[in-house]
Amino acid sequence: MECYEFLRDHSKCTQALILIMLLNMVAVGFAQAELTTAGQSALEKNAQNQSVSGKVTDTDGAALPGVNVIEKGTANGTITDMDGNYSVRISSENVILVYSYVGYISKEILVGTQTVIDVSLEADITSLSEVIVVGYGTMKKSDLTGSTVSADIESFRESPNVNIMQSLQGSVPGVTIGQTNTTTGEPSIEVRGVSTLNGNNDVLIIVDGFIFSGRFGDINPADVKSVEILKDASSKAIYGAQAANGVILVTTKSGNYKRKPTFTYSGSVATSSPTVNANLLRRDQFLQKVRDLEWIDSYTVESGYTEENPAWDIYSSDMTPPLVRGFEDGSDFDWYDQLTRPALITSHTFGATGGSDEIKYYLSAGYTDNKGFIKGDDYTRWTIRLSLDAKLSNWLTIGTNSSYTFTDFSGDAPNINQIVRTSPLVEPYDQDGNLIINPVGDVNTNPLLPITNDDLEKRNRFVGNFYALANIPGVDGLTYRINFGNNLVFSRSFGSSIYGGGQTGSAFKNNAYQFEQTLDNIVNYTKEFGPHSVNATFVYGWNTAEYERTSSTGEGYSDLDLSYNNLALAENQRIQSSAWDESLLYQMARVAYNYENRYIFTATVRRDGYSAFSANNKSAIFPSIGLGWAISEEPFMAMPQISYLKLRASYGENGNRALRYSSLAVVEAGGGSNYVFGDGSATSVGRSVSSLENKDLKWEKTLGYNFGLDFSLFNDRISGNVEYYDSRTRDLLWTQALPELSGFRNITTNLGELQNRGFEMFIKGTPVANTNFTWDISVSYYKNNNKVVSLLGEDLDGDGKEDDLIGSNLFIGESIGTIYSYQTDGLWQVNEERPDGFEPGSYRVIDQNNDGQISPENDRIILGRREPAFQLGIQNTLTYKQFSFRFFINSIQGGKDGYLRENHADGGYNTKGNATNANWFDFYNYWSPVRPDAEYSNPWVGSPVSGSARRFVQRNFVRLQDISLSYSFKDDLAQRLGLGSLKLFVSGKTC
Amino acid sequence: MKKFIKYIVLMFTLVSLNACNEEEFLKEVPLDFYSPENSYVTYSNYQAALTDLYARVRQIHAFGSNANEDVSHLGTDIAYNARLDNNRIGNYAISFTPQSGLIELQWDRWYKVISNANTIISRIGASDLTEAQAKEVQAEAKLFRAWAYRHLVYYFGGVPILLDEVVAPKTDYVRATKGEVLNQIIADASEAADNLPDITAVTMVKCHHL
Repeated sequence: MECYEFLRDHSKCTQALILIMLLNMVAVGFAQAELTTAGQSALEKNAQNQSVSGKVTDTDGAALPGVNVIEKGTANGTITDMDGNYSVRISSENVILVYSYVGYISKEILVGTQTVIDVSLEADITSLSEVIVVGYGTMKKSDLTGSTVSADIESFRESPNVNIMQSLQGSVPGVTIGQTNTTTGEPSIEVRGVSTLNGNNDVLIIVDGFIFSGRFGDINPADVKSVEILKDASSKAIYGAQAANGVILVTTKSGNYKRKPTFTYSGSVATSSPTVNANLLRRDQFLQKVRDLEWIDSYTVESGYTEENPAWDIYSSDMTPPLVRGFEDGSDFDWYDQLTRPALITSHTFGATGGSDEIKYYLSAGYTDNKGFIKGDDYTRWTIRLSLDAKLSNWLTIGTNSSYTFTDFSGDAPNINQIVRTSPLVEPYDQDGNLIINPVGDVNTNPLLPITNDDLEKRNRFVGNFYALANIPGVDGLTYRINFGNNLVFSRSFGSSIYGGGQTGSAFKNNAYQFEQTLDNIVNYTKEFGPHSVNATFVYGWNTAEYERTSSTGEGYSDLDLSYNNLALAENQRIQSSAWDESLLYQMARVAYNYENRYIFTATVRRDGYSAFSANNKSAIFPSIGLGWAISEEPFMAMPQISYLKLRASYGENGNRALRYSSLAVVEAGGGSNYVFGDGSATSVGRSVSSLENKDLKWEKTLGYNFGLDFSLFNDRISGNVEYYDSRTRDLLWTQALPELSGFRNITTNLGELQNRGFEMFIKGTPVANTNFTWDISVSYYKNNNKVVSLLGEDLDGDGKEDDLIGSNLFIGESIGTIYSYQTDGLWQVNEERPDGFEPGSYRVIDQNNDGQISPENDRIILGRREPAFQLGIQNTLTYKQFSFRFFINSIQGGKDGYLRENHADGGYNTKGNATNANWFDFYNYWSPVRPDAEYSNPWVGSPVSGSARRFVQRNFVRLQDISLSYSFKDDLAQRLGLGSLKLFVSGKTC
Repeated sequence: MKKFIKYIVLMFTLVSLNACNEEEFLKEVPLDFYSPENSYVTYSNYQAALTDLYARVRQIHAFGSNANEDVSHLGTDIAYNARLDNNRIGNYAISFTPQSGLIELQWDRWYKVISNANTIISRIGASDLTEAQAKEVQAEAKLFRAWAYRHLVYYFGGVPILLDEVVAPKTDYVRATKGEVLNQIIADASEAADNLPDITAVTMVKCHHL
């Protein structure tokens, strides 16, 4: 019936019609539920079969497309079209039609003698009816027993985020996303604390159900529909040996059946610059610095070194001749300005989505160009993504989710350390306009040299994921799905530099290839028997990865006009190659049962076999169990204020992926083991055992329990959850330091126990909800305590407590990031009585045991730790008519002694010569007798602990991280422009 | 019910078609590096292992890239470095500490020579070497071990004596006395002197593996 309307509006229906008929021919014998086709509708009027039609709307009268209209108890049904209309043939009068749609309360209507039934559906305002992606399937949020959270990425759609992880910074309790310094960097991701010392630290990334071992930067944020994070042991347990560090599930957008094609475009331009403008010393400050560093000679003894000595001049300093020349001719060059520029991020994404009765598609193409703050730090990304699902018959669906990403990191950027170091007294170019190789006259080369290099760095990633989903006919609720995923990356890194190879010219070509393949067999059985509902999943699959790389370098070129395209022209040619492969074989079973949505039980078992596990421990089993009790559904708890209250408890085990080849002994050949015997023969290649094997090396195992409370009050006006968790990681993969005299620096073994215990809270509320103005606020709070519980288990000093491993900076009862160092208290002044070896201007180290000596065993104490005390994020969304204003505040606090970091200038200024000739930032407040209250020690003075005594400072911050203002055009206004919808926005971000 | 069973069977067949032999599938064989199993078997393997000892000793004596590593001359009556920082041997109070990188280099590097020599000596028994080859290889390895101990004993006094290949982690080493170390040096060096060819008889010895 509805096809007539299609015909009226588009000609596309004829094509859809032919396709449907073709598909029906293929699916011979299995067609049970039919979809209305124009060809048959003319006949049906007089048939015994009744036909019901109508329109489905929401409570405001707006049409609802895509609503399922199903004859209850059968598979007979249809979906409403984009105007909300439907027409379905039913077998008799006594049929009940079920109208269901995600996010709305389902309605059931007995047909009787009606031929036209219009239905209006009420939105299901409890957010807990939403479906959330969990591993190998989806689950209703109300059925969860573990701690799985869906990140709020919608609030950050308008931020100039190049990487989807930036949308999670500070807004998801339990997840800490780090910063990046360059356009090409990937942010670090930490879920519920660090649970390994030396093992793999990476989270497991799953994209559309397929393992993705790539960078988040290769996924266009505009293509992402939702991001779920599995945090607790029981929800992670289905990914077994790869899940210990957390699992992030990314779901990309897909099409919709029975939708007109919709074209979307989103674009943004963003610029960025540092919030704290760092200034390097300019000429006068630099010359003053040279004088201050020579304070012993350049200031008078009588004044206590506070008055300048007129007899001293700059020529007595350690300045190199080029600097002296720069002093004489008045040079004052601004190096920082030469090498920096305002950063610019441009982003465009085009999308087309829609679907017919049987096929739905989502196609998008995106372009991002990120020009970083430092010249030469460029990043360009092209992405194409196609998501296609096709219902071949009513029981078989196939589809693909494929993408192609091309990233270009070409262009050498000078190292910021080199920029900072070079004195303002020298300039980069000589009179002829050529670059001076060593402008300062020492080994440091001109920071501008890399910009002249030819550099190509490109990466092509092809992802081809295919699936087939079969609803097993005859057995209601049983499905079989096969997933076949491929992930192929080609990396090319080519370069040439006329200054390389010791100024003789160098060129290189590196080619790398990585290919990953996955095959999953997923069997799922979902059934409701009255008040009971069961969902069982069984998975059997494998995953393999292989990598190879070839690298060729040439040095000594007469010219580099051909750049890296003819490496054979080099005098010295070096070749190298490497390769690795690995494989994973796994089985998983999961059962989720709930009784009347009130009592919920989930149990999973996963078995993983991994090639990198040692010979004696190739496979491992990871079980988990979860319980949930929806207290609010109990009759005795019927309180109007409480819309939903659920208590959850779960327990599970995960493992951490072992590092490839880590259990094998390694014999290294070549390199430092080669020798020339001087008897005229070629170089002799040597071999040496470089690491010991460990056949008993086990994977790291994390056991954890999690307690959670989900609540929703006042008709979903306030909702949120509270979590408490405690995870213990045992058999930590650890490079145990061995005495060097064994010939091995370390061996990888399993030792000890780590604990991560924490508390998370997330509250979302709508303090103001009027017709024109609403204010939504969500607060996330996260606190994690990391503790080393046990290490070697020895007590050699007999004090009744287990020994710490000071050499590895690990202390029982303290966190991994503990800072164990000398306690400094200001700086030694000129006339003070100082211990032997401590010069004026060095850190005054507190003698903890008052024995008159500063020694590592007695005078180092625990000063604090690197980990923060808590993280807090507050997201506000204010909507007034068409305007929407969002701002997000992020804060990390260190508490009493947390979130510490060294604050020390470590630029290699530790000799008077280096310190004299180097440049640095004007906030480097170093000691000299005229600045006795300075914070930092004098760069070059010695002390027995100058390599280890440091200042430690807390890094607490509160910052307005994201802010955006957007205006959405009213639908009718947009339609006048020929658009479905139009939104303009302006946003800002600090990071 | 029959249909149900039919489909279950079909599914499991499909699943088992892509099932794998687990042991074969998960075997880890390194692609681009050697392992001890294939590195201490033939005579040419042992020549490669001995070449490594030469390379290491040369690295120590040539002071790497930094004249500051010359602990046998710096800080003595021959010369000392006038800079006062802890990377140069000038001021003993600052540079001769347990944290000094320069002192650590000597300790680490000589003991690595000893460790590699021990690996060679321990594995000769299970190798394919003829008796004559075994004697010669063992003597050469012992010479290096003696040379290493000679340096260690004069820098540090009595040091732990290690004579066997390290296969499992061990942390409870004990210092031997200076006398014991000197005796070990004499034993090793004597065996080397007895079994290695005279200096005039050394020709293209190292090219055997080519």
